[in-house]
Amino acid sequence: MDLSDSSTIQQIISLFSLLPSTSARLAACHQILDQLSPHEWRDAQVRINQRSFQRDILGESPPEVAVQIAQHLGLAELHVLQRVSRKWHRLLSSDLVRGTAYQQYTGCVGIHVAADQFIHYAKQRLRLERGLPVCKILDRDLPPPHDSNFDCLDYANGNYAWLENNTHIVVHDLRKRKVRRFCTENRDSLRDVRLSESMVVAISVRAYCHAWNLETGDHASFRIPALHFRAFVARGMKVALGFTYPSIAGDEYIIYWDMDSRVARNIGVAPNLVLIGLQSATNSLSTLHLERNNIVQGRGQLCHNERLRVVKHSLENHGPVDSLLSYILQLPVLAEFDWRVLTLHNISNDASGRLAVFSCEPPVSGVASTNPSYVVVATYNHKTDEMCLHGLSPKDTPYHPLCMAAVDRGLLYYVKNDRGKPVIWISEPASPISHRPAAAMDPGLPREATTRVYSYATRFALRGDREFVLMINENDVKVWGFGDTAISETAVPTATT
Amino acid sequence: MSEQTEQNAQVEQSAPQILTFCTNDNAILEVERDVAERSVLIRHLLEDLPASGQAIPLQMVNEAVMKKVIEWCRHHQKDPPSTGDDDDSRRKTTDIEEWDQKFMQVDQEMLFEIILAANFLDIKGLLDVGCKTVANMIKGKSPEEIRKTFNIQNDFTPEEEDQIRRENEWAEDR
Repeated sequence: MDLSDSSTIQQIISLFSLLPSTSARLAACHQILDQLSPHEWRDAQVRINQRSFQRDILGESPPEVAVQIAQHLGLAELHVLQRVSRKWHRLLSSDLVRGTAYQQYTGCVGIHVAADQFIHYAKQRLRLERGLPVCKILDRDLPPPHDSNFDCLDYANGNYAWLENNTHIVVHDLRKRKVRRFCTENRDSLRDVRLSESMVVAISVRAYCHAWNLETGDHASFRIPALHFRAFVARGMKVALGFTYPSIAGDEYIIYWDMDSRVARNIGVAPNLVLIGLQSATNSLSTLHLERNNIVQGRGQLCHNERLRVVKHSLENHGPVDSLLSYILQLPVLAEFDWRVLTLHNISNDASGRLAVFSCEPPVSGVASTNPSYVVVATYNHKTDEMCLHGLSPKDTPYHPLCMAAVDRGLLYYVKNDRGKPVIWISEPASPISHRPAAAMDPGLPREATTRVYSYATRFALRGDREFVLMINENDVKVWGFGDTAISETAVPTATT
Repeated sequence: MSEQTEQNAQVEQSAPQILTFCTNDNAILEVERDVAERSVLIRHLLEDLPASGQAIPLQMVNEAVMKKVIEWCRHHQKDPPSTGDDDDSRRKTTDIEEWDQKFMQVDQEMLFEIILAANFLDIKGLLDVGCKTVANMIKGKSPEEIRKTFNIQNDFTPEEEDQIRRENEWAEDR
């Protein structure tokens, strides 16, 4: 390559760089490419393969975008990936990312969370995600249920409640090992017990809903129209019961009662109510409905197109209830139309309002086959006011009758039938590992003689939250602790932590 | 000029109104107003400015990216408008609908530019899909795999890296 060559090249290059528009540059490029010989093409190909098109998208994004990307990552990833580079370290340990993540999980808006406080929170959350409790509580004071009615067992905020002799509710404080008993003046027979952070609620066979303030022992009650309710939840000082009988408020309605004001309200809701979400802090109520809108598709065939809709109601005014917003939840298992979604009412020990369970059947193929159905579980997290869907495929083999508890945001504990042996598994749809066994929570239950799916021989119930997870069967009550608040001397540290 | 405004007025009545944009590499793109208004920035711009018929300059976006953005806006033209900030917190799942997934199958540089353009033009839905796509590329990977995926230089000294590893050891999945 002599001097005149290099000056010609210089000229071509400077002319090219002066081209004003993308289209002109592209045209020039194309025309040069058209002149290439096969050998030159080969060389060009090698150079193209060397061009990577990679980009540190998270590291180079403006902060507001980086935060939006980071909020889709789990708490483990936010910490482990600080090791990628200085930029990632600075970003993932920043106040902004930490504050956003904390708000996302706790629903606490606008509070500053210190680094060590956040790490403390994240550690406990990871223990829950992986089933690694800090301790197991051996407490002889916790009796197994008297009968197989698991609707009379409830847990909330470190308290465990059960029914004694059908008339007395026993509330056991797992932290202080303190016991309180509640009953009505007339020793009414009770069924269906619910605990909230601040009260215990029970339905009597005479169709009254009784409530006691856990702190003061104050009692109040209100009449309910029927004993068959669709949903029953208690939160803070509020109770909500869902009914499906015609009334002034509509065919499906919720009775909403506040112990502070002792006023009950009838709220008409959309059909096919399956779950009620109640928040103690705000005056609002979320409901989940199974919508059946079958559509005609293709060759005049009728297809199922069932959807789950969330409606949020405002209870601010005393007049008619406004619905603030409504949206569709994407079903986790359905890729296309024509899946049948059915509400499973009485299959679960944890039904009647704590969570909603659906069976999803894939479209029936031409051959008469036994298509295994999927189980979809809808849960409500009151802290973040979110509805979450968990999908359990036939290979996840959940134990029947279904036994599950929503313990934290987007986290569902369930009992799996592991070739006949009941074991605790954890579903977390937002994680890359959406189903995993609880690593250090052995229910210690024997393998059954058969591996049949429907087994009513043993019944269990799971209850729990961030602090404690309880597994109750006919023989005993197991309690695992996940928080590191001081617990009574009966706690035994688990080996793996 | 007056001829142009007359034309515009006519267009408004019959066919959808067409807007012209000039990208930072001097390309002229024509877009229906309804499509372009998925961008909050453009919607506000049109509210403030009287229709002049002149090309609207977009200094932050080049032609190739703007074409992708328009493609997305056109496909999502019929989507209901977002109901405000409140629904933001509800869609934290990283599920992306099929069309969007295919749309986002581009190289990392293009993905990055689409995200920046969506942020600049204030197109919430597109920014959301872009961020989810990146999050899905990150999820479930080790720091080493992340460096490889995005071609990131590890600029820690071995001692520094070791210290951060030890600090966050509790978060590692064993």
